Amino acid sequence: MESRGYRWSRRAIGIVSLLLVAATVILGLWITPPDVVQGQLVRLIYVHPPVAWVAYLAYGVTSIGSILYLWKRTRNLKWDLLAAASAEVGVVFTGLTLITGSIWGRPAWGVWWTWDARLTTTALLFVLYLGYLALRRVPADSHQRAVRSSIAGLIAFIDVPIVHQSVVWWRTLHQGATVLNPSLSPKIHGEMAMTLLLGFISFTSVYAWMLMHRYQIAILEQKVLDAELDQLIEERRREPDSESRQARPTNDVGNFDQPSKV
Amino acid sequence: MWRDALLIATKDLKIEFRSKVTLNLILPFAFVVLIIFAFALDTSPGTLQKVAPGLFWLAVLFSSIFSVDRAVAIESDDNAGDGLLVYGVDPGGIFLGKVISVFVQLFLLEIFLLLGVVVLYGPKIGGWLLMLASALFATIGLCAAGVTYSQLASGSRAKQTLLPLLLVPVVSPVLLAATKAWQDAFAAASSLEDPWLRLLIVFAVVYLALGAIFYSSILEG
Amino acid sequence: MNGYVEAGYLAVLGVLAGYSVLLVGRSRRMKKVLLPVKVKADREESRPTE
Repeated sequence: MESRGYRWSRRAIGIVSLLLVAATVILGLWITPPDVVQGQLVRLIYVHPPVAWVAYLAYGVTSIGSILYLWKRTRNLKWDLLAAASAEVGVVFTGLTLITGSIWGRPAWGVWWTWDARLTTTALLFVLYLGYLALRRVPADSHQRAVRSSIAGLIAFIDVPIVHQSVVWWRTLHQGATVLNPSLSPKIHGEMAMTLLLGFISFTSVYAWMLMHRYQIAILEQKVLDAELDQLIEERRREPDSESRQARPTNDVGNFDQPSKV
Repeated sequence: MWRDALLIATKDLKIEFRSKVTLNLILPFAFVVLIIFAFALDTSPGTLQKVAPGLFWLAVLFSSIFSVDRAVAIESDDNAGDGLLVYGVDPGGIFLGKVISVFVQLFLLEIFLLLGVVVLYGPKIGGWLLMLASALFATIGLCAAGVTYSQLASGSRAKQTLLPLLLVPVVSPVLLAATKAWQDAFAAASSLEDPWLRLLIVFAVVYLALGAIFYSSILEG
Repeated sequence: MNGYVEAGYLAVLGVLAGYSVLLVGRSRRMKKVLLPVKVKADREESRPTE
């Protein structure tokens, strides 16, 4: 099962992230002063950019995991499970990025949504990786699923700069300045900068904890699948009249009785 | 690889010629989409003329989902694709063949669809060279990404729902770039220097390469 | 403050807390499922084979 070191480091990271997030919230909501331009709204800066950074970090990890699985020399199911775990956490954080961005946008720009390049790219990222997760739920044997989702994860990642470039041109070639003009962005200094830095650290730590947890679940799921599969094979082998048996095992965990290709 | 690609393409086109799925199902569907758009928007000529390029490419995008799904389904039904691999057909060749076959079908569909757009929406058409070039690369991009994703989603019982979810966000830059390129073409400022055309070329090249590299892993994986 | 700030913090903390609970619950359930399977497998292993 889970090694002791893994479990303890996961717990330690969990406790540390809890403390860090609490500190960020307290500093962000009460200790730091309101901004000259943005007023109280500036407090959202301690959560929104860090959450967005974690989303991109998570997709980066997904791509690295996918590459490591696809490269034959480093091929190991672990990489694929890591990629999947990171993608799921990434989708959660992308959702949060969109939500907090929208909440910020409403009072700052007067609209919930604007077709800004960054926003649109993030929205597309959200859908891209939802698709990746949907593809993972397609029944297949572990290797087949790993290959397919690694490729999908990698292609999705390669698509991001193309999407971004197209949206940037879309918004700039046919329209003047974007909403994110520099005069609106607050000047950061002193304790505000410290709080922002703390925000980045604490949410990254939350990501690490979630990734470790999600990865552990994926490993356990894989083990259950393998154990049940071994057991079924063993049972089959013991039956003397396995040829005459028509009933196939009911697949309540995975579709390992699916015909695999080649 | 190229010989295999041509073989697969002619085989698929022959199947298409006999079954006429594109002609009987996908083309009428695309026309329905054009009509439905007019319902959803406004029939005043100004509106439809302005959005004609976007609607055209949306209709093409929707149709391409059916086309690529069909192209891959030909092989996954009865595990015919495994047969091809056993015969030693190059997987990259299968990919290119599928892309060529879907490309031919979609390009023909686009010609008919353009006639429909001209008749129904009445936009002022011009800049033929840019139009043709951007349509060419946009269609290649759609086909390459579409065939790759269709193969990725194949084997799933929910593939008809999964494929659009996977494919549409990926090809969204194609929709955007092709629409803008056509808008530029229709406006007086039409030249092959158009940045949107460059984006379409990049997309087509990237996805052709990705498909050719990964197709064998998807098939054999 | 102004409602928006609170809503933003609440959304972030709420979603993260909800997802964490989900993760912990899932991993507990997986461990429960894995335990009998492992015990059974171990028992079969210790049994002398024919």
